[in-house]
Amino acid sequence: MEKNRIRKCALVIGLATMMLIFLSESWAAEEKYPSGQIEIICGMVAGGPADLLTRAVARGFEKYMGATVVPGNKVGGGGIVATTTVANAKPDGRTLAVLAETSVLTAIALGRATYNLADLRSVGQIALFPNVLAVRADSEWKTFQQFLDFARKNPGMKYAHPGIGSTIFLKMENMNKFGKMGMVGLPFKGDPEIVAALLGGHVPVGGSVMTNFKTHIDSGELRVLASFDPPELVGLDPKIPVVESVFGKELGDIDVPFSLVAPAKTPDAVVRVLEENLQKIVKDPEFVATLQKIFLVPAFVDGKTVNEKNLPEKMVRIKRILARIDMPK
Amino acid sequence: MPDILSGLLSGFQVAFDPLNLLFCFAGVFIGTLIGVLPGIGPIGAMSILLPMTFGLSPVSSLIMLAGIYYGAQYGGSTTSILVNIPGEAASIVTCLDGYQMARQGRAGPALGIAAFGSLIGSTFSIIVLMFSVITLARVALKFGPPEYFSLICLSLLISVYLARGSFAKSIIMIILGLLLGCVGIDSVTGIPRFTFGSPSLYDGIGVSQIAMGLFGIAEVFENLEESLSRVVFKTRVKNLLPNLEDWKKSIGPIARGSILGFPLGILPGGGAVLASFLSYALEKRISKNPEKFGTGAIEGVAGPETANNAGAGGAFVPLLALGIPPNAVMALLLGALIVHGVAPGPTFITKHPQVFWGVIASMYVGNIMLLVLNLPLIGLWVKLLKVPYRIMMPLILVFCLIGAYSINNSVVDVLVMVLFGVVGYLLRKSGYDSAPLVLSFILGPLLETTFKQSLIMSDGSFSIFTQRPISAVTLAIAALLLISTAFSYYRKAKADVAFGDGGA
Amino acid sequence: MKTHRLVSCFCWITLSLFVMISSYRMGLGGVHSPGPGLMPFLLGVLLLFPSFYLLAEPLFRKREEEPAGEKAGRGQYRKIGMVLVSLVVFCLLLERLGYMLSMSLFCLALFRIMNNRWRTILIGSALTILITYYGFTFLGLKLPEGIFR
Repeated sequence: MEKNRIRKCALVIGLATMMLIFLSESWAAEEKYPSGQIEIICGMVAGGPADLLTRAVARGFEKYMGATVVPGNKVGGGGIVATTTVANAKPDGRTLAVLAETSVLTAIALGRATYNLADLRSVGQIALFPNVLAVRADSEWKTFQQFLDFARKNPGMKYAHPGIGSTIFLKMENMNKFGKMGMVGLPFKGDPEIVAALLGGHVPVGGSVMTNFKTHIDSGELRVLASFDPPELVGLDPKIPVVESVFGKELGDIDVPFSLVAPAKTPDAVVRVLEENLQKIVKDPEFVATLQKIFLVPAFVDGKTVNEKNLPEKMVRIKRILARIDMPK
Repeated sequence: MPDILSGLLSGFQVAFDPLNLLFCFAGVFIGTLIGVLPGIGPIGAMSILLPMTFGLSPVSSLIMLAGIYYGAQYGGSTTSILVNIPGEAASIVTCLDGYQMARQGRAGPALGIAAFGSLIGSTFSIIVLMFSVITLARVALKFGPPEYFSLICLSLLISVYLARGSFAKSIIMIILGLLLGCVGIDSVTGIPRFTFGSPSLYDGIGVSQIAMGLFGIAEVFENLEESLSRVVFKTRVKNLLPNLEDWKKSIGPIARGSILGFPLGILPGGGAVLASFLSYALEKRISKNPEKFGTGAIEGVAGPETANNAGAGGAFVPLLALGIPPNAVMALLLGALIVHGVAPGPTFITKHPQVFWGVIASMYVGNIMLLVLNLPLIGLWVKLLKVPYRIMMPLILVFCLIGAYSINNSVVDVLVMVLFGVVGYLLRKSGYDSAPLVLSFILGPLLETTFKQSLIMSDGSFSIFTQRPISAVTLAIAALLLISTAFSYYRKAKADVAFGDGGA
Repeated sequence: MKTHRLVSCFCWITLSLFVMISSYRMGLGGVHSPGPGLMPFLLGVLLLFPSFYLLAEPLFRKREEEPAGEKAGRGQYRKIGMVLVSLVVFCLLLERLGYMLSMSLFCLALFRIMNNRWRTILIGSALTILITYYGFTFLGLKLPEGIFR
């Protein structure tokens, strides 16, 4: 009986100690910002360019702020789930997200958002995603103008895009309608399928982020006809035309920036710390090198400009594009 | 040929580097753990370890991450056999016969044949990959939306053979699976369907949640019905390894599983899950005693387990040859490679041969490690069976809950799993078998998407399916299968009527 | 068994109708350019056939059908109910109270349902919580902190 009693006591004490250790760990986390744990969410799948960007940002914050920064993924609805999570999170600067501004706004414009823009606040813009238009290298179109003429003479050509409602679709369909190219969109699930469809000859032209196209461009299998952003930014031949310069400013093209976003009510002091460090990160050589590998363009814009100028402007453009391409039905 | 040999030799040199051996072991070990635990898939583990690999060389990172991936394929069968709960969707079919074998005291042979089958399947895929990776990838590129559509039609047809019991009930399950697959944003029109305003459903219901609910939670509910004193396992375990008889029966399924699984892994969208389901259906179809399936036929474990590992190996083909990932796990590997500046693509093998061959060689090494790891564990797992159910059951639920939560760090997934647990329980009580539901759930969205894509490509004409050679051939096979099944069913019905008996 | 059959067929038919109505409203499009509602609508229609067949089947056969499942004792259903309630409560509490607390409550409840001896209940729960918490955090899983933030 005695042995049993002692065993029981030991067990209880052991358990109590472990619980105390656990409790003290979490209470200790309530230190002064920015020490303690910060979470940065990404709305896209692990391994994709958006996710790699998020991880690079997390590493940058660890380096410059000395905090423990944990990247996480909350996939769903093309970013809607992640955006909703950060919109509803506690505004203490410990939950942030790296989001595509365009996706955030498009969801609202389409009436699908489960968050309000007023609940979000950009800390600063981080980088741009350059998109390009590519065809198979052995196809007959060597320049964008050739392709343009061909498309107009042969209405009904198919172009590949990663899904209706995606930013690339918006841009390409906008170009299609404005330029009267007469093309028909062929949706695919995910960028790798677009590459496969192009290489396999199932679709003549497709649009995607450079990240997915680069190895094939280098190996000579794909040819870039046009870029939506200045081609030198991603190491392309500067003679490749920029879409907006071909069609003119009336096209109203949108770029694809990624921002660090926090809940709107996050205290200004916290946001300032984050913004200052973000600016340093975007200039950091290691960060720039990483982004170069994934063909993203580091481009910092301060939070105030993003929130007060860029986002509203972009929303106007998005709504104009949606109207032009006849969405939402 | 000499190129390949020299490449392989240099690869082994890389693979046997002590650091890489360590990473290989770490990868397969973690992979096995992940495979055994329900819900937590290789993606979760790989994305957590991804930052750790940033400081390593590209070869080492790839070796470890790849190890996690095929390691998980080994571990997935363990819980299926022991407690009838699939570690992931690809292990569902292993539950059907593997668990029955365990109940008959043959958990050891089941686990053993699963391990050996996995080894053979993986090795087969690596060898084929080694010799023909570029050619295979080019052939795979020829599969566009119409070809996929025809292939999925064929697969759906084959999946009818998964059905046990009443034909009408199986049809209902298949239709239900297809309907569940419709939940989410329609890929072609961008309109949300059946999402009830919840963004978590925009990408559809996750297959893991459904599998864990229908098979895991429902299983627990069903076991709760029986009074706990009834021990369901024969405690005297006869053998720990498969005997000669088992091997004789399994050789065919293993061979067929490898050949079937590998190509399915190359094509996007299906992969290991499709491979295991189709292998099971195939074995049942060509078996001389199809009624044995579902009662503990070792062929029902050997075939699928081999197929899903062969499929996992096949998934490397488009990734390494073209830089095109056929599934989410490969996409993550792609990301890892890109970050290391070693983007795979058509020039990958020639520009970075040491990475390519190093990974291939380490796959051999990893598979051997996995066998050595898993075989002795069989003894441990079998001992685990002796733990009383009243203690096991809460643990099983705990792991399922954590597993479901870990999919996307969301409670919604856990609730979905519980919901399907209730549904699965009710279905079982009413005599419905959920396996066909899972397969059609996976295939349904693919079927619809490829159909719509094909129609866009052809401007609305159906002839695209018959004009393109690969698609036409596949459809012809499907049609033949349909006719032959209908014919044999008709003959059976006639015979039954002649003997005054009722049919299915 | 007849109730099972009636109830399940009733469920399927209701589901069919619901699906057919919702998908019709989504727009069926044409066969050559299918709209979002076409596939679910067709499936809904298809679902009616085996459902009605199942309903009508007993009329075709005179013999006994195979029992779909034995009925369990009353007490066992109560157990299932309690487990189900525990599962749902756990889900609802998880993000509010955090992993440690909600899992502790869940384990206590579950072990209690299955066991009578308090020693088993407490030790089982404690071990489960500690091992899973530290084990999974080590593996990199993020478990909610809830009120401990």
